[in-house]
Amino acid sequence: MIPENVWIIVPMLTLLVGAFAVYLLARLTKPSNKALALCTAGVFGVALLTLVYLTAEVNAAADPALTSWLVIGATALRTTPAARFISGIALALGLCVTIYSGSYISLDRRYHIYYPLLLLLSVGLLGMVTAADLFTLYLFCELMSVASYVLVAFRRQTDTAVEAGFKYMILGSAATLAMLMGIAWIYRETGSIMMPVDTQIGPWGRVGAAVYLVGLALKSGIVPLHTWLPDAYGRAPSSIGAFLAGVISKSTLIVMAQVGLDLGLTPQDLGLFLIIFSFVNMTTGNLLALVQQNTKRLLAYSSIAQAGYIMFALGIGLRYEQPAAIQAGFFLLLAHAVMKGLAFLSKGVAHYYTGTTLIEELQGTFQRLPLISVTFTLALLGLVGLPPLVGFGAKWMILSEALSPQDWLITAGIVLFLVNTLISLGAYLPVMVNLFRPGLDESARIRIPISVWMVAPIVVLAILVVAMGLYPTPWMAQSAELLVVRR
Amino acid sequence: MQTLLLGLMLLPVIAGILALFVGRQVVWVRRYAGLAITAIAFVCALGLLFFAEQDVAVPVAWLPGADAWSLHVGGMGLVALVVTVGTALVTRIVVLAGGKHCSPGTDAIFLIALGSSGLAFLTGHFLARYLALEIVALCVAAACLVQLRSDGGPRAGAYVYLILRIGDAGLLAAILLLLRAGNTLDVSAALQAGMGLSGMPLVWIVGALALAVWVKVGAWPFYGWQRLGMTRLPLAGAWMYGILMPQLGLYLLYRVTPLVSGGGGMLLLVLALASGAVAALLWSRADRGPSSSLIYGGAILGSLGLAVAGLGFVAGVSILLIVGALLRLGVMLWRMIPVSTPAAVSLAGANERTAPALGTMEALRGVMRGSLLMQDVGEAGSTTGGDAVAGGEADLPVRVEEVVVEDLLHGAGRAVVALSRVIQRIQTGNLRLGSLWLALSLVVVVLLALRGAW
Repeated sequence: MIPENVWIIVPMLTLLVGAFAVYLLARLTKPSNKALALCTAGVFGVALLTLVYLTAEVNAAADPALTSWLVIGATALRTTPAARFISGIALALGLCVTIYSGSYISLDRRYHIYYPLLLLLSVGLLGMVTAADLFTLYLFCELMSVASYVLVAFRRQTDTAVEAGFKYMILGSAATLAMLMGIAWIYRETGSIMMPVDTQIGPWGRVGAAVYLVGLALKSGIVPLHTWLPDAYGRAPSSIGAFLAGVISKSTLIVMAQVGLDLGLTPQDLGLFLIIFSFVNMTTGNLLALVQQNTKRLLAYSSIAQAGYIMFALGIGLRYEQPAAIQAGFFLLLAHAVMKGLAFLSKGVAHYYTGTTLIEELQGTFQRLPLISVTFTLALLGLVGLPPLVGFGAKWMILSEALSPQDWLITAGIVLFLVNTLISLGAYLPVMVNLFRPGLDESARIRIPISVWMVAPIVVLAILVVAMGLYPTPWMAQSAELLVVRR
Repeated sequence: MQTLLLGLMLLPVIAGILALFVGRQVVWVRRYAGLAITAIAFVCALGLLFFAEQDVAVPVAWLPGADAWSLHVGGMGLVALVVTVGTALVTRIVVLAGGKHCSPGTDAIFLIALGSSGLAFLTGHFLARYLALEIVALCVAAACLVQLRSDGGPRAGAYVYLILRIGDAGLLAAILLLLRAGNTLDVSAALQAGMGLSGMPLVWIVGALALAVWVKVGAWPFYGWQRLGMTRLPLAGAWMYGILMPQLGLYLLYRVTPLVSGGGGMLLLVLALASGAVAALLWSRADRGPSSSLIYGGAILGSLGLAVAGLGFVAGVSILLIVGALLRLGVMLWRMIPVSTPAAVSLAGANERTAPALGTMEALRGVMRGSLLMQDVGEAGSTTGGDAVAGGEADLPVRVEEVVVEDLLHGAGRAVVALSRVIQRIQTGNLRLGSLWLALSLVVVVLLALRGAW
């Protein structure tokens, strides 16, 4: 008998089957990188289409915000509006990254494992956002983590990549261990691992929940548990950096917030926690971005700062019961995925064609890769919050929501937010300056043709940065009322 | 009237974008299009005088929750617009009369800034004004990038943009505070609501607005960004630095004068007078070249505007809006005269005018954590991309007294960078430290959970 609501797993199943199919195809027929990229893009495309179809079906139902449940044995899954929203972002960005990799990964000989791992990473993410019990969430989190450890260290010929992957694995494993320990304590206390917990949990349950959340906090890159993140994002291939920075860590943050609510934290307490740590995240991220020499590490620290902005919005929404603030946070998540994806992919092109790694090496990029200079600058200006780009819309929404609570904590947050915007500009400006500085020698002034595989996703993302900024309403409508708050 | 508004705002922007694509290929476009579009914009602005005192609803509600935009055709905004576009037209005529033309990039920036300024002068909506001012600021910074094609351009542009962004942060903060007070983004209604405030909220709003205006008008000590444009850029670029941005700043001041004079007006008056006095003192010690007149004279005018606003004398600000623009234009053209001959142009182009930018560049270095080394700043003045060169005089010497803010910025930048390095030392890379943080976090949350803080 087919369980009810089995459609929940269709996009996930598509990706999972696709991962094995792509791997077998790569092993058996030895296709070219481009062919494999095309197949993987097809899998992402089908998964995205099924998700869009299913979302349309749900939206046509009487209550679109309704959570649909699927229980198979001991495994429980649920699809919430937030889960569908994040899944949509992940699949769309995954599609862009795959097409981009059709050229970007062509120099790496191990591309036959790259695409299956990318698909498994996405399965892990989709599973995490739909998991309805703590153990299933743990399993999907582990699947996502293992895939990302390997992808971070994908270029194993470089010591730094292996080192970054190793660090990520050690700290990530410690975090998953903490999550497992948390599950054990919660189970001991309540006899169940289903979310949300139905009963008031006692001291051991609370300890379990706290430990579980710390594990998720590390995976989200919340300061001070972020130390793995700059290495991982900075050393991973740019395509993977785009995916990790664009969607993975921010989605884990949302999952952490949802789990916190499901485990009995009051929205007010969780909101306060998010607001306080948002200050730490945005300030630390921007300050550390300011002293980076490596472009990708700068982008990684910028991701930590942007996570701070998202936490600020979610915190306000939860603490002061302002759904519009949560909506603003989700919109920034979407905007960040687009902008950071664009920044990483643009950086990847510069690295691929000119071998640049450091900020000062970007000198002469405008003459050689004018399109990339423009798209990279567009992404950075969006991250700064320049109107009318998408980053401004998101930040404006957050700030205008932050005005409502007459609370000194939020007033301090607004001031810090604005100061951080200026600090971030100080961090990004050297990149922009070097992009447009003329090259030192004549050979560095010859325009280089870029592969269409790389150009296509970059242009799409660049258009989105502008279009979503100019016309944000439909995108914002998608991000309404996403966090399920138990009252 | 809609046609006139479109000709004033949309046409220059579209023409500017097109100039980028067709400007290089078609000679007559390169030579005359910028002038023609500016002339059309001026005619449209003049035409709007016949429709004075009308409100036009614009069916644009850009961000969710924000009111629809509106334009107010009339009043001082329209007069200031006519004067500003008029100065733009004169500038373009002078450039063409000098046998020069603007590069497509310069044309694009000039026209986009011109179109955006139309919106900034006429809109009655704070968000639209902020958007327009941000676009103009970006164009002003980009002028360095385009017109100083050598190495110094991007760095100079970055510095200019950073300073202007500080002013814009002030404006954004003020808009948000006024939004909180009045729950509207309509300029008049929000200012009305702001006037109902008292105490610290009002002081914060006035402070934020004063910062925004102070930077834009280039009053002492915030004229570092203007110095760069007015001493190095060709005439079309110098117009944006010397006339457009200060005019927009003064007009913003004009709108907020009733609010400013009400809350902390005396403090503003004192600060503005002190600022003007310092600028005057510096001018008296500087050589009497045209660039000095532009920079210090402009700073004194800006300070005067702020002082007048502190007194609540709105008419005084309006007079400055008109007279100031004409004075600045006059000085700019005076500055043009010595280099009208080809030999002088060539001389100016080859001249290594390094001195005036050093202070600002050092500040940039401070703010940007030392990555932008300034050793080759001298190249900034060496090429101008074929545009008419306006500055012919010897450069102003660097004066210790001038760089107070730049030193302050430098100091602040250093402090921020030092803080960053401290954080970096305890927060990055090291696996052992990472594990320690994790262990510490686990201990803290377990203790908190056991104490019932859940």
